[in-house]
Amino acid sequence: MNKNQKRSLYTLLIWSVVAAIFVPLFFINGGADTWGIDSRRFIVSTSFLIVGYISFFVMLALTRGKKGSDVERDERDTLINRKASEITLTVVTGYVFLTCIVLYTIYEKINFIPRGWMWFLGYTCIFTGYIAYSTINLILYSSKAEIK
Amino acid sequence: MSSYKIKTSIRSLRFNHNEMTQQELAEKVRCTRQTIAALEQGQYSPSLILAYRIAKVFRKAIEDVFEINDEVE
Repeated sequence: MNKNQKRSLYTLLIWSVVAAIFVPLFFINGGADTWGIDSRRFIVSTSFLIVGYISFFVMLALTRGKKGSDVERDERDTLINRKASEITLTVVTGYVFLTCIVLYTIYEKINFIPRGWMWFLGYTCIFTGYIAYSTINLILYSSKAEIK
Repeated sequence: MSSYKIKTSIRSLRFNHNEMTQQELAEKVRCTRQTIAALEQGQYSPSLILAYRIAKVFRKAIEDVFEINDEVE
């Protein structure tokens, strides 16, 4: 497992844990309907997001190679990362589209969407992006198919 | 649409060059050992620069190291 694979694995772990905490936290005690008035849930979830980012950047710093050491990233890594970015863009776009359509369909008759869903969409976009990017990276690295 | 498959003789060339390891070759051509492994297993198509560097290490022409099998679909 090379450095990029390790980073992808750690990224996947960090953001999966944060997402696994955030999503149940969002839906307890009234879900989106009470999100705006329940400041405790908002503060706790924001804290987890900050902890997630701190863990992510600490992990990046700890897994950074030493100057002058062996080549740790080459053209194949760049190609795999680029392909993962392209696929992640499609995944995140699809996720936002589907979520918006589902919310529209649910709230169509009452002409009103609780603002908590905007927070949900914002937070989960971050999780979806990082989780999809790291998962696709890991899949491409372990793929036996030829990468061109 | 055309597809192609690249075959390499890197493994045998390494063997004939004092049993050079993948890591040693990777260091000489400035890439990772995993890329050399992927090239040998036919899982990666190298850039022209990398192909040139590898051929240069073995003092061969690029076409002596890499062979392209064109498959037109």
